[in-house]
Amino acid sequence: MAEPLYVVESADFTFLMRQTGLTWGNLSSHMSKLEEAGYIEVEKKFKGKRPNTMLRLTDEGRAAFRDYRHSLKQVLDDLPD
Amino acid sequence: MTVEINLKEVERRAWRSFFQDGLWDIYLGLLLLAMGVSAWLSDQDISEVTLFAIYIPLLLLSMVVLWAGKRFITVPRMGRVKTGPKGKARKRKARVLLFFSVVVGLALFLVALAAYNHPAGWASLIEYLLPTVWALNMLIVFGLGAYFLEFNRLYLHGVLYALAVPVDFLVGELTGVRLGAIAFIVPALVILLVGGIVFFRFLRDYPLPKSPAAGEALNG
Repeated sequence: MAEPLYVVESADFTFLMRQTGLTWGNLSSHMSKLEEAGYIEVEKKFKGKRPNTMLRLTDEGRAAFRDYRHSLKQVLDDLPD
Repeated sequence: MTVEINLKEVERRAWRSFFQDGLWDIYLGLLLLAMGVSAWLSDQDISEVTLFAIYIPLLLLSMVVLWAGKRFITVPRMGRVKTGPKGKARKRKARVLLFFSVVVGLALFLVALAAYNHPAGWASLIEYLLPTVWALNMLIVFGLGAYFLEFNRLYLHGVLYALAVPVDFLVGELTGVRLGAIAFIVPALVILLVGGIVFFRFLRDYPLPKSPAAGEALNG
């Protein structure tokens, strides 16, 4: 979920939908939870007259994602062949 | 290890999305087409002022097509993204390449200009040198651009760009006929065709998303 945001500086909803393959509602729900946890920052701006919401991982979110990757790697490494 | 590889793939996929719309191909095709049109006009012995009065707007038009296409077609379908450190490093390398390409192009132009004011022997040497330097410049710049930007179609475009001037020169030497326009316009049309196919595939694969207004998404 947070992978696309981890590798870029920031991205909008449409970009994340395209990258993750999630629906708008589903992605919105995930992002709301990540925002509540303080893992993502939501920056609302206007491009001309159109609203544009950019999302970025906070430092806390990046650290949490690194921990998650580390844990996942350990679990995978510990699996028997 | 698997996690690392996947992350690289995600980064690569995000980066490649910049070139999925075919607009850069169309832009490069239009640039070469503008050169072809100017070569054709030049063969018609029209004044330099008229030549530039047509050539410059054509160059501007190709830029407008790229800008407007990105702004009104790609971004609403693909979304907006600011690249991470890797993407920024790639862009820096591409800028340096473009700078050197422009410097070499400018040097070529000045050499060609100087050649016309020199004795025939020297001008003849320059006539052989120019197509070679042009071809090498195009192959190196497009090749490095394709490599650093991971934009593989640039290899093909580089070959087509590189061939234009030498083919024009060779055909002129062998037949005595000025076919500059064809030497530029044919490869330009091939690039435009490739860009057009990629563009229509992009439109098919990425329809406008049905979504609530951006900005309303998180707060219901």
